[in-house]
Amino acid sequence: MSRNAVAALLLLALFLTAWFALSPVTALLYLATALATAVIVLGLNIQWGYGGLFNAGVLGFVALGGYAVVLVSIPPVPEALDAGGSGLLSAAIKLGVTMVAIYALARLHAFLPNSLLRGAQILVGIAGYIWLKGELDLTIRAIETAATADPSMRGFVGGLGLPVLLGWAVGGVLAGVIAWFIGKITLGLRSDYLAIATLGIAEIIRTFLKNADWLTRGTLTVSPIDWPVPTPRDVNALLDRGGGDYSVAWLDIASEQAGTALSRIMFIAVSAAILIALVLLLERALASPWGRMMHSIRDNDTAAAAMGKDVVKRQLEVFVLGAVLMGLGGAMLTSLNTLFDPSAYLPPRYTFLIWAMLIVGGSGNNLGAVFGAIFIYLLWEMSEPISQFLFLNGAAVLQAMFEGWEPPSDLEGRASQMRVIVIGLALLVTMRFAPRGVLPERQGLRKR
Amino acid sequence: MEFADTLNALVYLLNKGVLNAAKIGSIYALGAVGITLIFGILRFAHFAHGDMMTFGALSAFFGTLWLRQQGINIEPIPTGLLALPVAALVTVGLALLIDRSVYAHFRAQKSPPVVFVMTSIGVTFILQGVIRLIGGTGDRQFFFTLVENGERLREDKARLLFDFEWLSEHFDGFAQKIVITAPQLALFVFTAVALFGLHRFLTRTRLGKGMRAVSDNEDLARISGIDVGKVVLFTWIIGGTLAAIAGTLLAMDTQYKPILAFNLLLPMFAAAIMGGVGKPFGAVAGAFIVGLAETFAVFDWRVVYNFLVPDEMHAATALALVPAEYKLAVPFVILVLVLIWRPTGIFRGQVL
Amino acid sequence: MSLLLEARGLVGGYGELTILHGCDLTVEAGRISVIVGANGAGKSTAMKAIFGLLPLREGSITFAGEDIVGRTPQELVALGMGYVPQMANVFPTLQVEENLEMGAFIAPDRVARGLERVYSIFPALQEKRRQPAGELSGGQRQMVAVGRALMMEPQLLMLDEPTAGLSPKVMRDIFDIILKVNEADVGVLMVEQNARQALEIADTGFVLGTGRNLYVDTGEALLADPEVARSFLGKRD
Ligand SMILES: Nc1ncnc2c1ncn2[C@@H]1O[C@H](COP(=O)(O)OP(=O)(O)O)[C@@H](O)[C@H]1O
Ligand SMILES: [Mg+2]
Repeated sequence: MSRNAVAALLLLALFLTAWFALSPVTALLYLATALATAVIVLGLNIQWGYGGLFNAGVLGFVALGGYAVVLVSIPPVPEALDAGGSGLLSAAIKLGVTMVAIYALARLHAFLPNSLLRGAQILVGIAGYIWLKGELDLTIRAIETAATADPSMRGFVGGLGLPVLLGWAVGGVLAGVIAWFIGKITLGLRSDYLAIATLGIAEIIRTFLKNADWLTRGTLTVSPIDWPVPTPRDVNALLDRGGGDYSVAWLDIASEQAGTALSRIMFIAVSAAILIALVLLLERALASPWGRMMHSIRDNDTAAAAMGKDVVKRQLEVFVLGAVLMGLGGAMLTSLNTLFDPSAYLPPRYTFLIWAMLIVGGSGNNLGAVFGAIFIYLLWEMSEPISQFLFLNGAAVLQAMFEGWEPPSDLEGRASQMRVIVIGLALLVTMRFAPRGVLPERQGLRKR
Repeated sequence: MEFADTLNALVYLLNKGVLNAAKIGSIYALGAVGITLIFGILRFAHFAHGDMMTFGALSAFFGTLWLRQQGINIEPIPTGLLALPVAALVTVGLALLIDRSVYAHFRAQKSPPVVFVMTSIGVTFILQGVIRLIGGTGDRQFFFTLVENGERLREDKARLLFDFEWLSEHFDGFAQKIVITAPQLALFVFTAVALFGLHRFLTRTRLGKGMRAVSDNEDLARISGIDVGKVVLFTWIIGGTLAAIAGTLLAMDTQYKPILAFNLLLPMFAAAIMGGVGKPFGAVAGAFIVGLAETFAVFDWRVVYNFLVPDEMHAATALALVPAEYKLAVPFVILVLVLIWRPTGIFRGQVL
Repeated sequence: MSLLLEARGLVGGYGELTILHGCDLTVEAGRISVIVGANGAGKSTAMKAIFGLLPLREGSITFAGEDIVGRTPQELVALGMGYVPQMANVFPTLQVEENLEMGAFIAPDRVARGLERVYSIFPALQEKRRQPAGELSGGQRQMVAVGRALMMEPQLLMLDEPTAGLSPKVMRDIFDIILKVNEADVGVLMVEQNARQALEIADTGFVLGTGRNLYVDTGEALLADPEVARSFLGKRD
């Protein structure tokens, strides 16, 4: 049996365990999340597996994708736009002018020494910031104080009120555009510096999204967010009207879960279609001359540069392309959760876990990336109930054995920490014993 | 404007600005020195360093708990400080355990830096889990009240108060004070002593010079007969000790929480890179620059301004360069600027 | 005459890549052996292999009669070997004296005597002892590198292209120093690009090509050999 088949069976076994040991709807939710996450991991695979770029700022692009869904699909708040629309526009123009000025300075590199140039760029940046800040502060205050018809929308500009699927696409585009700027300034740094820089930039993006309440509602979160298919609530309402018994005994689906299950299956179908299309496209791209060039750049950038290939330009391409997928995946996740919560984007979950998925799955191999995403995600979710079960029973046994011993009151909370340990161990074990991952990159590709 | 108001403004600035910057700068310095030594000698960005600091703080907390329960204390030293040596020992033990069981293998394989960074991310995961597993997910105070046989035993942060009485006698209306807590004082003293000691060690002892030699050129160090294994060992001993001190003193000043030091990781990287990788005293300078920048970027100048201008010109809203919520982003901005502008550091740093 | 260093049939390289295809290299006690050969012939690789920096696939190496295959550089330093690599052979941020001390890292009690000896050979270094080695001129840096290798008073000094990139005047100085060191009965194994000058002071010369011995003879004989002269020594000046 091939490695791929074994891997697929392993995933199936894990999925079925979740299905029957937890519940069908839970298993479906896990799978849907895993598929959306797999899109993110594919993006990282493009950046790292094919481009050799150490991006430790995955969460920044995921969060941008998530925000894009809010921007596109949430209806606008007219009162806020009346109060602050023109101010926002003029702030955007000022931002544009500042960026053009910085870019124009870069064109002067023939006349100015590098350090002076960079210094001037930073000064222009700071000046632009101060120029913009005054206007923006006033505008934001205007938005925050504008009375709204819907009091729960107060202080929030809202979005465009367009279909959510468009939001997914915009998620990719927005992440890609921002990635272009980030790539412009950071690519060329040596690998671990690039990691630190991207980690820092992701934190800046996160801090901004979390605190720009007028734009994202910050810690208040935005919900509900729509699905491209009928949501569980829609389907349940429909089934309730039908009023029949929708249970599926052999699948262990109770009647009241049927609507949710059906809706999630539709979401999974859409996600799977996107994922399969992406994998096929990527495989074709990699077999093309562009893909072969990427390989030669990753495996030996100096030689490739000597052969007259524009290494930094190619790297910018993969960085942006990877970010597009991260944004798309982030948008899908936000939809799935029906919630945009900027505070939830934490590095362990949205950057390092994604890395663990790629490394365990097998970087450089798209199927490896998909396998790693689903496998690690299921492991991540399921190690929590399993360790809770073990801990609570263990505590009961200990209590029976030692009179008067009291387990810590936050035992359940502590048990849920087992999952980071499990993932960390999975990562370390893979790096040590299967450094190229469970489904390694095909050797032939690597050499040529 | 009265002269007393100028004094008021000055002392306020000192208390709320400079002192805060010095405090956070000291914490960053203790962490960044470890990071830069590891960067220089083991040649990778140690992502698990923040969690080592947290682990040190947690060990110190348990030590404090135990000491308090045993009724051991030496007035006026806070019990947390008495627990510090043990915490440092435990943290060094942890660092060595991690090195032997994880990093040593990849060192023997001569793996590239990215592999080390990745494994240190794995270590971060495990440490974060272990820390919460044994320490719980909640916050903990180092200065807590212990109830024993119905008796409530309190321990409070001792405060050093500089109220400048002699000055306020001369200047009517001068009322600002400087308050330094015991943990803060300990932090300044420990930082000064640790950094001075480290400087002596690196410039006066055979092993310290050997460490600098390995950082300069590992191959040549081997060829010269330097025991690189021992140098690595001492790197972890120094890094672990400083991490435990920084984590504990930070937790004593504020409180212990499981993500205590994770947020400090990037500012510390910023400091280490700014100072030029592999240069401990560059990292110290970088740490204080980051601390100052971070503090003064969000510093609300309103109080100072209001002291200095006539009443009718008083500002009602905050006068800060950056809103306070963005405090954490400031070091990241600095970091990114440094990486782009001068990746070798602001001093003539070593290019790895 | 007993052989201080005897390396026979060395086979090895970097990973899969084999660079050394069975070359022999020997040094008699207190004598000078010189390795010459085209760029990429494997001269530096052979030096690294002898000094335990490269795993050998085949071959034997003895130093003063003792088998040293598989020994670490640290053990070799303790046995009485010193090695000055071709490039990056000083610690740039360490002061000159600290650089020298590192040469006697394994035996701190020998630092004082070593320093005294090195300063007597290189008086110029004593003046610069507090200066970071990275700030020195090329010739002085080479002196620091050689001085560091001499700190343990080795019986064998291995030098990889000690005069590369130096002016003719400094080159002559370095050669003089090597002769002076050799007078104290220190064996020398040296790789040199300036083949003619090097062979003039060589007791034994090895001409290496693609990891094999092309010619082995006394320095004098090699200089006189028209074949060697044509392919390796260039035109007479
Ligand atoms: N670290 C290395 N890894 C792989 N190949 C190397 C390495 N160092 C040298 N080589 C190769 O080994 C061959 C011999 O190199 P070297 O021993 O340095 O030659 P020489 O010193 O005679 O000029 C060259 O083809 C060179 O490209
Ligand atoms: Mg060479």
